[in-house]
Amino acid sequence: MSVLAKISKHMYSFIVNLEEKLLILAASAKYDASCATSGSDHGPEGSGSSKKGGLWQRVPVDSPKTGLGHTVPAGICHSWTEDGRCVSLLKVLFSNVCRYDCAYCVNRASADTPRTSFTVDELVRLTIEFYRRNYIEGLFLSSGVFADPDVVMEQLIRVARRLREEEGFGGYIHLKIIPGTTEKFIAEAGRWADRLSANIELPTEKSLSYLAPQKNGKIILQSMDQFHGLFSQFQQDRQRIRQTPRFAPAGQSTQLIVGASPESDRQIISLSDALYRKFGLRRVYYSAYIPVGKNGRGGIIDPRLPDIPGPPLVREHRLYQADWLLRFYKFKAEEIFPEDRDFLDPHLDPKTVWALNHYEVFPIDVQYADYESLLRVPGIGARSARRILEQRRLHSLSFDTLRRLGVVLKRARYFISVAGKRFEQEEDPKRIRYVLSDSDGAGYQLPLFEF
Amino acid sequence: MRSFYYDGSFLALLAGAQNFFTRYGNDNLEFRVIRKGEKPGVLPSTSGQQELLFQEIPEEEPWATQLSYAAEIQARLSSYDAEFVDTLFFAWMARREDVTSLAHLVVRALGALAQGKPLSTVYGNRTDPLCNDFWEAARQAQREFHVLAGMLRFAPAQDGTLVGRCAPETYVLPALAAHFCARFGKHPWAILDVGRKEWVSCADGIHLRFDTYVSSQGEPYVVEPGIQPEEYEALWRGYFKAISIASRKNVELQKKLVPLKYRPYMIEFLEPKERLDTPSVSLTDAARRYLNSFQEIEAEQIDGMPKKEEGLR
Repeated sequence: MSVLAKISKHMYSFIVNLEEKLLILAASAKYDASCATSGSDHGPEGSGSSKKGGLWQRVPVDSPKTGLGHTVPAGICHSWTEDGRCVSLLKVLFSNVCRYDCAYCVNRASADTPRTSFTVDELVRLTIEFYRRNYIEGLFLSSGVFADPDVVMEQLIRVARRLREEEGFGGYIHLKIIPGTTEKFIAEAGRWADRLSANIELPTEKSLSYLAPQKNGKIILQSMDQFHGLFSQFQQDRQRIRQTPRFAPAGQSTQLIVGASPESDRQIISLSDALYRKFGLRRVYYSAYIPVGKNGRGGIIDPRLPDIPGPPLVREHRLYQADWLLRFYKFKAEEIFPEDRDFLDPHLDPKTVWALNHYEVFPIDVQYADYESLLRVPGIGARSARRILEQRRLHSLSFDTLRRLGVVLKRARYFISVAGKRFEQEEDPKRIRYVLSDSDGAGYQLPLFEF
Repeated sequence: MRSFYYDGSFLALLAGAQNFFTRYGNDNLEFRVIRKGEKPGVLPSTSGQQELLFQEIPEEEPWATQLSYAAEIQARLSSYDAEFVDTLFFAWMARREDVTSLAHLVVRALGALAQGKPLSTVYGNRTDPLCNDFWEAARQAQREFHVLAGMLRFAPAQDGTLVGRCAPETYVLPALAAHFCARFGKHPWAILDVGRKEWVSCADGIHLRFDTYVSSQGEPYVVEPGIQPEEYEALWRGYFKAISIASRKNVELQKKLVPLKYRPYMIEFLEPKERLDTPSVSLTDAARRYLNSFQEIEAEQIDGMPKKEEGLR
C-alpha cells in the first residue's frame, strides 16, 4: 500500500467544504497558547535578513523585492479575540484525526468530534490569501497524530516547503514537531520554518503516563535535544559560511498545561528553568487547563481530570510573570519561591513577593545601584533600568525623572531612594503587601482580614 | 519671534534645520515652524511650489530652501545616529502640523555634531521638555504604526491591487508605506488615510506615491474603493469566531487591545451587510492614470548613505 493510501485511510475527510474544515481545524488548534511571531527577521526565501538602519530603509531602492512577505523581529498582532488573546498566525491543525487518547485534549481519539483534514493546496491558498489581506503574520501548523509521526511531519513540511519555494512566502511559519519524529524530519522542518515546538503538556512523566498514556516524556525531550543539536550546528556553520541555509531562526518553544495535573508551581517553574538552560528554549507557554468536552457530542468528561469551575487564569498569569523573571530579570527558579511555598501568590506578582521577603535589601538607591539590583525593584523593568543607567551618566535623577523614564512609582516607591532620599517613609511590609495586592489587575484584592 | 513655514514633508524639516543652522547657528532658538501646504509624504515639494508659498505669505519665511540637500542630510545624520533619525521620523509623523519643537531639536543636534559631540547628548535627556516632547511624539506615532501594521485590512480591487483603509490619529502613512512595501514585494497596493483624505500607493515594489484625494486641478483622484465582500473575508470572519475560547471570555480586555476607533475598518468586527454598503467605484484606474502622469521625484534621492567620515556640509 502506498504511503498516500495509508494516510488517506486514516484521514477520513468526510467534510469537503473549506469553510467547515477551517472552522473545525481552527477550533481544534485554539487551545495551543503559542502565538508569537517575534525573533525572526527575514524576507522571502533567499533574500536574507531585511535591511537594517531604520524603518525607511525597508523600502527597496533599486529592484523590487521578489516574493511575498517578511518577518518583523518584534512580531505583530493582527487582532484580538473575545477572550483577549492575540491573533497573529493562522493557527490550525492539518488534521484532527488522532490515534492518541490524551484525557485533556479536545481531539482525543475517544472524543465524538467531527474529523477532517486540509489538503496541502487548501492550506497554502488560505495562508497566502489571508496574508495578502493582512489578517495574519503567517502560519502555525500542528496536527493530530493520524499516522506514523514521520508521515504526519512530512505533511506539515510539504505545506511549509510549498509556501517558501513555490509561493515565495517570506512570512512567519511555526511548525509543531510531532512526538517521535526522526531527526531527519526535524532538520527538514527547520529548513522551512521560523520556529519549531514540541509540547511537553504535563510537567512530570507520572502525569503524562496517567493522562496521556500513549505519549512519552523522554521522546518529547529527545526531540527538543535533537533540535538543540541541529540549531547549535547551524549557528557554528553560519559563523564559517554566511550562505548556510537558515534553520528555524526563532528557535524552539514548548507548552505546559496548568491545572490538569497536581504539580505545583515550583515544579513547573523548575522544569521551565531547566528547559531554558538545557535546550535553549525561547519560550515556555503556560496554558490554563480548560475542561473540554461534554457528554455526548464533543467527547466525554474524563474521570481522571480535576473537576474545576473554569480555567485557572490567575495561576497562568502568575506563572508567566515568574517565567519572565527567569528570562529577563536574572532570577533563579529557587529564588522565586519562599522555602515554605510551592505555589505562587495569587494576590501579588512574584517580583513584589520576592522584594517583600527580602525587604532588608531595600531601599535601593537608583542613583548608584547596578543594573542587576535595579532589576530587582518592583516597578522597574528591563527597559527602564537601562534608561536609568543612560540618564544618570549625564544628569542626576529625581522621582519625576524616574516617572518619565517609565518607572511605575506606584510599586517602586516603597523600595527605592534617590541619592539617599526615600520616596516613602519605611513601611510595614504587611501594609505594602495589602496596598499592592491586585495592583496589576490579575488577581483579586487581598481581603482586609489578611492584613 | 521669527516664523517659518514648511511644506509638511519630513525631508523639508531636515533641510530647513540645516538652512537655519548655517544662517543663525544654534544659540537662539526663538522661532516657530508650521505647516502650510498640501504636500503629503516624505519627499519635499519642488522649489516652484515653495516659491509660490513664499509669495503668498510674505511676512513669513520658507523653512527649507536648499531642498536638494535634504536626503543627504538625512543619510548623514543616520550614519552618526540611526536611532535619532528613526525616532525623529516617527516624531514628525505625530507633529507634522507644527514641527517647531522638532525643528529646535534638529538644529541643536546639528550644533552638537559641529562640536563633535554625540547626538544622544541632545535628545537623550528625557528630563528636558524638548526631548520629552520628542520621545512622547515618537512613541505616539510608533504605537499607532505598530497597531495599524497589524490591524490594517486589505482587499483586492478589480485588477488585484490590494487596498487598505484607515483613519489614524497620527500621520503614519509613511511608516505604513515602508512596512507594506517590504511585505508585498512587487504586488501593487494602496493605503488610504480616510481622515486626512491622503493616500499612498506602490505599483512596482519600489516607487511610493503620496498624494491627497484631490488633484491640483481640483479633480478627485480617488474615491472610496468599492470592493465587494469575497470568499476570504467570510472565511476570516468564521475563523475569528472559531478560535475564541468561551470559558476565557474577556471582552473588556479585547476592547482595550482593539480600540473601537479601529474597528470600522476591520473585517472581523463588521457585519457582512455593513460591508456591502460600500460604494462600488474602482480605485485603481484612477490611481494608475495618476501614477502615469506624475512628475517623478525619484526615490533614489534617499539612496546612497554617505560615509560618516565625510561629515556634514
